[in-house]
Amino acid sequence: MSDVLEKKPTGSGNLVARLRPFTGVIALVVLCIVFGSRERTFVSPENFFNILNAMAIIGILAVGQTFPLIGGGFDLSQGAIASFSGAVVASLLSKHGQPIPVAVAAGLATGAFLGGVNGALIAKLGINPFVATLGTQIAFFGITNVYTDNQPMSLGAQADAFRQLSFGHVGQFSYASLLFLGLVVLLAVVLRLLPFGQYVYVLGGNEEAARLAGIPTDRIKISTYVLSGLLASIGGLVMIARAGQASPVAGVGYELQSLASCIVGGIALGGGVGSAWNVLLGAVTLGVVDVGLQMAVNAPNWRPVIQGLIILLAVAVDARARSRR
Amino acid sequence: MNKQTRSRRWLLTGAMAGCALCLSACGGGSSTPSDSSTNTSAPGTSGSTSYSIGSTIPTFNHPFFVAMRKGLEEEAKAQGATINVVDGKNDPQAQLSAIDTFAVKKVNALILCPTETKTLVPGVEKANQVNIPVITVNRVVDGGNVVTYVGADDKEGGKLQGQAVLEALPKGGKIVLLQGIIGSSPQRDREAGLEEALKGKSGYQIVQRTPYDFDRTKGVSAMETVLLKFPKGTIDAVVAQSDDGALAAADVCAQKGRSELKIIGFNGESDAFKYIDEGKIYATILQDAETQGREAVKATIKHLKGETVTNPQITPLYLVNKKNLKEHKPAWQSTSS
Repeated sequence: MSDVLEKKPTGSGNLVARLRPFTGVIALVVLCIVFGSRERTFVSPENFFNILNAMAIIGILAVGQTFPLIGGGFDLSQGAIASFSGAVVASLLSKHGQPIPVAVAAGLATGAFLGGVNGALIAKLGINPFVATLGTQIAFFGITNVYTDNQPMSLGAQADAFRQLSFGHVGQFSYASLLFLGLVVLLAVVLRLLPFGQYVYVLGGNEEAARLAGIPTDRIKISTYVLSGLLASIGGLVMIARAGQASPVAGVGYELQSLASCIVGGIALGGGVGSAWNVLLGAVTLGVVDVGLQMAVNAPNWRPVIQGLIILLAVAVDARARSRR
Repeated sequence: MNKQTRSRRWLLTGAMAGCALCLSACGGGSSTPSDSSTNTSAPGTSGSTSYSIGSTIPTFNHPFFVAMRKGLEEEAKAQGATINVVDGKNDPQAQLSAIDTFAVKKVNALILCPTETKTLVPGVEKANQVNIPVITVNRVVDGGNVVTYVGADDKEGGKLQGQAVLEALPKGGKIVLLQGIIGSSPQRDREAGLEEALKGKSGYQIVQRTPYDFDRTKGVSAMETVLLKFPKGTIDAVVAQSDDGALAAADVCAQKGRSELKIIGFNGESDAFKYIDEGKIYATILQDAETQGREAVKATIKHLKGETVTNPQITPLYLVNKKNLKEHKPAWQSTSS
């Protein structure tokens, strides 16, 4: 029925209109071709898995960032939550001799709890997400410093077993990249199949309307931040597995990268739109740009400049495409 | 977005993944200009090929590492090798990622200045696994196989700082230590050296340790807090693990009228030289980052050519104070002078 109501574009406009939803993918392919032409090994299967592994941590954070974003906010404290959760896990493993499942459960609970703090500040106290999560970012990093006494914390006797999370492979896929991909699938399921997902979209699209429709907006909002914190703590697990220790200075700036992944992938900052596909696309794009610049651009000073330009371009193209729909 | 678009997207992902794998299968080992060496690092392969070196250093933003990078890049160019230096952004994860990427790119060698001693061990081990020789410069890693370490002996540097303290405070005194990034080898080893120099010397005591992350701005706030905690007469000297800390401390002391404190730095940048001349800083330990970078590249190319390389290669450190200031050149020009 919607086909009848839609005006069908004609002629050459038809192709452009059909391509519009795929601008992100086309951009990604173009980037790969450009980098691949300058550096042969860029398009090797080894590099495909290298990129996936390199961006796994940010990707996991980006999956979490999706919830507050679609709901109309965002979470600047993810890096700090990842860092502190990692410290909790490390401390339980090394200082308190807890088995791995207990330590991991505590770490995840920490992430969810800290996310809940964010949610409460934003939903119940009405503080805007920027101020609230910026404040908690500073506080959570501070708590991490106090908790670790400013020193890196080891993973104790079970370090080798725990670090399999970073070193382990299934075929050529690292556990971390499989974890990321699995979480992307889970995200798709939650957003599309669960009522909770629908509520988040409505919350982001029009909060007043959602409230009037009887949706428990406060609870949904808090839940989005709880999920963001929970996924940040999962990212934290991979971080400490990779580093072999929990460090109070780990994770700085990661929330900005996770935000960038989502936005480059096509999730709007205003809320109400976005999907698991966006997260996958955005995270992979940023990974491609990061690794590609390292491999193919031998003027290190220019890398951040080009990186910034590509991100701006991606967002600009997406904004234009969106406004024309 | 309708269902058709959605399923098209997932189809497209699958197609892309398939393309990526296919492309690589039909790709050969043909070299492009930016990857001019297809040799492995087998010793004995001499002559006409130019070497491709991968490198990652803690940050691009500090003048010390700007100087090191200059040494790395200029020496590589002089020797006809290509070097790709990646910014570590003070993040061990970023450096580990860079090493993974170098492994895919199949560089001939890796020159590493690690952000942290323990975290980068898996990176070194990864390079070992794929037969890429590793040379560490300026900072050490706690494991893995390293061809050689080119750099200063930080513990020796810490001892020289201790020596300066003993000279500056002949009758003993209380010392505040401003520390660099916790967990980095310079922080760890310089602190150990300082403690060793003061061991058993009664009358000398380190009463406070505060990190300032080798950052001048953080050094200012760290020093202000120290002065609040320790009023006049309660401390006698400040040892900073880099000149950023010493310069910051000197500025704060001048402002707060605490110029009686003896301040000791590390690195030997031109601002430190200026302050020593003006009596605001007592001494610094001079180390030459640019030379360390050059020597690291030289050692790397020697190793790739199959020649034996001594391990470690310790570059000299000099205790610079007002008396011998004229004999030395600063390690680099600070931006403000």
